[in-house]
Amino acid sequence: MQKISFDVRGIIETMIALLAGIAASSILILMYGYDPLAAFYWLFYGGFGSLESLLDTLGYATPLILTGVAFGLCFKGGIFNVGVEGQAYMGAIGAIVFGGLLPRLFPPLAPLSLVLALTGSLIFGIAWALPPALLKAYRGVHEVISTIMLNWIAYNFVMFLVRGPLVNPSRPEMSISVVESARFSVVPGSAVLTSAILVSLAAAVLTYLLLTLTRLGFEIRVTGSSIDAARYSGVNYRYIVIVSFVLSGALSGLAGGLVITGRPPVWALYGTLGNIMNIGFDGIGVALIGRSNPLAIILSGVFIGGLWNGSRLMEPYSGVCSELSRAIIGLIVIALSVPELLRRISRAMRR
Amino acid sequence: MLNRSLIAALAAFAAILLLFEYMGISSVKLVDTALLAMTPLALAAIGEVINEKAGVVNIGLDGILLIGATLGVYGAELAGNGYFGLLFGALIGAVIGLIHGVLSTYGRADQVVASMGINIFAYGFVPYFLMAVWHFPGIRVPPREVLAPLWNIPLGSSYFVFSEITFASIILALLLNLLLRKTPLGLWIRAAGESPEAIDVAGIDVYKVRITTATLGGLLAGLGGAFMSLVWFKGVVKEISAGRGFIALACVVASGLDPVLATGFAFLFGFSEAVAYTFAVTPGIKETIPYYFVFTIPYIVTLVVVTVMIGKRRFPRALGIPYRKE
Repeated sequence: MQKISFDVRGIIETMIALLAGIAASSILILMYGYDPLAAFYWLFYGGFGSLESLLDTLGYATPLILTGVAFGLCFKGGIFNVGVEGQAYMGAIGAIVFGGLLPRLFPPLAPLSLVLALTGSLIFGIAWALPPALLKAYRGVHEVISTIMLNWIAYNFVMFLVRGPLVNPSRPEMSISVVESARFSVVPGSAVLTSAILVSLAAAVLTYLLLTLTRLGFEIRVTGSSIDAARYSGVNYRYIVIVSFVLSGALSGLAGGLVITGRPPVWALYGTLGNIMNIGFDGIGVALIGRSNPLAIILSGVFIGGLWNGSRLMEPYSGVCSELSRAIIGLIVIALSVPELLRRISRAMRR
Repeated sequence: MLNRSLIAALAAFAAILLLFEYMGISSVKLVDTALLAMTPLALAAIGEVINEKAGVVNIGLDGILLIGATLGVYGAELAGNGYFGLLFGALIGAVIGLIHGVLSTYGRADQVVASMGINIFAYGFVPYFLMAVWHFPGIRVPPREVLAPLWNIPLGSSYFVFSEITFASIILALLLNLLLRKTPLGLWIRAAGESPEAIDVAGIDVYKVRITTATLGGLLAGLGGAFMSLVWFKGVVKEISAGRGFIALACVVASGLDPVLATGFAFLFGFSEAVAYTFAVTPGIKETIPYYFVFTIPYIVTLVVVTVMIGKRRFPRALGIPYRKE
């Protein structure tokens, strides 16, 4: 059983990585003649500057916390599930099919449609995580390759669905929406925050408890630290790979489902997939900044959610393209990959 | 053994081409598109083979292709010359590879995390760069005169479209194969991946070997990216890499770290891409199979081929593991 403790050194190292990412991106901003101070002012003001923006940030964080926990859970077990992106796309489709299409075809099901939508997103997410799980467990196919291929297959398949069979006849730029009863209630004063955030928080806490208190969680962590040690201590490696992937796929699918059931105003997927794209890839950043600890991931999810939210102000007010926020995340991840360097810097700073 | 499977592969390929001819699809067009699609995959894969032989994994190939494609166009417009653009893309790729190499050796980084960071960075940096430099979101079509040429070789009633870069990448695969097998440098590279302790004791700097291969790997991926924008697609969009960096990784693992075989797989995946492009415009097929399904073909083929090939492969013992110098 793991004791709950604050990893002070880890927090300091993460802060250094965040600062390194911001410093490096300032250089990028300066190189093209923009003002980094203005860019970061609007980025952080837009993300965290007022109560309203803070609420919107929590809205953007809602699926990011889940994709972060999904990636982090696998990462704890030594699995690099970059398929969170595609699993989330499929989860969104699951929500639309079970929470939009089904209740409209069978109106008596309407009161259950939120449960149906979330169940659909879980099933679709798991279904998309199973092939890479089985390929890794039984054939040794590296999950980075299989999951990225499945991401692209999901991308094309979902584009086909939202522009074809699932298109909204009256608004062809998006898919059909989930029915009213499959929508989380909107928090007053916010444009995007709904009670769906409670689902994300609960999932993060449950995953934390799973990892720290249960035998399965222990076995996942042992497998992550050393496959050989896990095998010697009697852990069934294939079982751990498959279970980790299934849980991760369920969380990713749920993330996609919450983009549909928990984000106003459209409650649907855009035909460009613009409102879901990158939630998986940014979830990798969320997980790594949160050091794969589900409770810390809640905070890092809010941080990245703030970057998403703030970048909408950064673009019009400072001229810096909103996608720069993704470059910042990438630089932070690169900085986080060199723990020894961070350790040295933090030691030097304390002296 | 190898000859027999080579003959079987060629026979199967000829049968597939005949089948397509029967369906009314020109095999000349298929093969020349396949060779174009092969080139960025092969360049990135060959570089990564050498890199992984020395013990360093770089899953950031997709990001390097993307940045190479974008900066290649920038360089070409700057100098007014497509070849300079190719060189510029390659040099930028080399710089990224060098950084990854230094992080993986002196920084003792988690190589998978670091190189995934390269991908995430590229997916954000490229749209930012397109907007900052050309003030237009997501796409840049350079003037025709700064592109690198594609040669049209008359063949019967049509043309066989060909780039010398494709030819160069095949020659390069053969040369690097020789380098790995027959030269002292090749021995050091293989030893850096199999038993870094041994060459460390022998007085060879493991870090220098690994940084060199990582830089070479980045250089070739950057060239592959610039090839896509300056030779093949004649422009750049922010999604131009479309997962090709990961398909290149699939070539690497399916080949079991053999540059020539990796190029063969690059051709196979390039061919499946050519089939997808052809299906998307062929009357009779484009009406029956939705466009989006056709575009999953290369990814499905990659997944299947890796699954079939992976069982027989073994990889360097110290692959992906940071080495601490004595």
